[in-house]
Amino acid sequence: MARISVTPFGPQHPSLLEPIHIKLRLEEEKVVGADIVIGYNHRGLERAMELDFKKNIYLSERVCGICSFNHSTTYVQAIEQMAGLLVPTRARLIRTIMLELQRMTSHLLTLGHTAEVMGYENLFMQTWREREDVMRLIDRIAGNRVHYSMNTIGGIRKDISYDTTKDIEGTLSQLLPKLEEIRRVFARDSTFAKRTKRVGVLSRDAARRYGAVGPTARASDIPYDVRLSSYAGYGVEGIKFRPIHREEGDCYARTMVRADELFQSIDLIGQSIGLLRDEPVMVQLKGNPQGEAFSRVEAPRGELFYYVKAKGEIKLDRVKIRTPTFVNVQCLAEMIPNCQLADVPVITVSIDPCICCTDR
Amino acid sequence: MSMLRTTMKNLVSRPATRLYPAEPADIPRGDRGRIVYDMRRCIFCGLCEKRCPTHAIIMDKANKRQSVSRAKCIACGVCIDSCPTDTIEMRPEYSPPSLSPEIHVYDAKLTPHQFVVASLPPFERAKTQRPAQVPFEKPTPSVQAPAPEEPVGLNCPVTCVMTSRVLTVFLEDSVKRAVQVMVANQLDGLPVVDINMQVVGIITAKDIARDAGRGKEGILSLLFARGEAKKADQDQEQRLKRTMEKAVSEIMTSPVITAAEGTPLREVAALMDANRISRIPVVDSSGRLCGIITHKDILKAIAKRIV
Repeated sequence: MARISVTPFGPQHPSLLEPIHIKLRLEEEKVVGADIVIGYNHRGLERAMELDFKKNIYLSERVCGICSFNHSTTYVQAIEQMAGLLVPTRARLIRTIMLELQRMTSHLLTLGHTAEVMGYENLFMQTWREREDVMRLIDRIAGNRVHYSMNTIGGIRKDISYDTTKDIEGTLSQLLPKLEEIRRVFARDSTFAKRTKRVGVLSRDAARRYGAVGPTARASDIPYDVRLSSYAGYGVEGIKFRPIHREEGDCYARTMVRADELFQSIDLIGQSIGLLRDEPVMVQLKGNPQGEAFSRVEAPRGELFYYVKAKGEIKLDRVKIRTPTFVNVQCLAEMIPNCQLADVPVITVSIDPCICCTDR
Repeated sequence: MSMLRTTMKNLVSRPATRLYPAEPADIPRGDRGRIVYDMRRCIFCGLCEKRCPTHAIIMDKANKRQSVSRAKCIACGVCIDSCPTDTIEMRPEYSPPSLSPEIHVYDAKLTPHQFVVASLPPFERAKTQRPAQVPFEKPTPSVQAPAPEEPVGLNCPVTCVMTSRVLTVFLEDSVKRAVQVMVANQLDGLPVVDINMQVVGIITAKDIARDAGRGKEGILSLLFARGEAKKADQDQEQRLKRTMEKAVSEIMTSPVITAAEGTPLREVAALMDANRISRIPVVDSSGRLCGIITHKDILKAIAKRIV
């Protein structure tokens, strides 16, 4: 029995994009335990949101740069629910298009990041090159690559034109073969399989116990997807999809769920564009919201949850944000033990941690 | 194996990146770069100021000015949506990078989209020439060796040690604004400029204190403890309130003693001593403000042996 030593992983580590601290208990090269410490990136955004509820739309986008549109959608949905606004179908479909485009950028980012922490720089660059196409497409639609500022309470601020929908369809059809190529590499590459298969397994029971969400849960055979709850355009008649899920629960499964969801996103965008009808994209909000409401959105990393409480004034009483990574990061305590030290970065990145969201 | 094919393909294909500053960036037409004002149309309704989520816009109705704090602006476009007269438009071009928070002032007197930068970009010092000698290295026993009581550094131009990032107030700004800038930046005085950045005066904490009938220390501490002044001081408080509402031009010291860019440090020090003042704005040949020098700057330069 070797002596157990404690080694820190993070908060500053070459493979991490954001600060998270994992205390690893090592028995030589084998990890026998992991404690997760978060809170290095706390900015007090929930407190800051207790201000003007209209200005909060732009603040909520800034909770996270990778899922900014998801955050603002969740926030405006909560306010719309409180005010009883019926958002026009066109606005809901445009939201769906933007949400799915954002899911594509986020998944491509994570796929690239997973490849990078394995030392597979070549695949990382391939993935991010295709991601750039989606980013440029978003820049053309919304006017900005990261913070779209398109959402508003009651709909969408900026309608998309017919030319834009053609642009989206054209760009995505060009992108499709490239993404198929990337998916093939992830699926078949022997280097990738050796580093990810049967590594960091999260069993179905454990995933249920920890309350895992998003691709992390879907890779552990829990076909749970908030999009089934029919928010935004997902409830519009004519849109069909089935959540993608796999049974293995290892890093490979989590990566492949994301790779498959890229094609699901393209399919959903195509369906949404087909359903667009000419109608206004916004209804006006009258007065200030009152009461309490919660809203959920399937962000790229899983279920994103906002709770908003208002008392009929411009200032809000309370905004509570529960982000997907906040739940998923705890699953690491289950995944990491019994793996090799060299696998810790891959496992950590495989849940797609967004510490910016988590610490808010 | 499949990756190998992709790698070989990449070997012969064109690069996916571009040589950015040499080649122009691919910025789409609808990109949200920065907002510009067309002041001929502005009716000063104040909606843009009110709706701006980051409080980046400050309206000055009396002087017909709109100021945009570039570092605060998030280019969300809410001001454009709220403007009833299409005064504001979004341009797909980015502001050039700056090292200090720039405030762009749009004035009705200027041409439509022209603006004035209210805080000057720093590090203009880098452009100015430093003296050839490096005095803090041990002087070699050459013929030209300066006498020990005559440090050569004091003959260097004022631009070597001045602060080139100057915070200023405009002629028509209220005393209150001047005080806010002073308190926020821990300054004792600010040069007063007109719209063309010509220095017309200087306002110091002493000027304000004299006008309000208080000690210099009292005035700044009183501003922090807003509304907590004792009732016995009501007269004084009224007087202070009146001072705060005055324009800077009413109580500033004018004309002001300035130094030209090339003035040797020694002359500046002599100027300070003779006039019993502690800060002198530095102007270029056309009279535009380009820096400020205080007695502390000189002291610091001597302490760090820069001069």
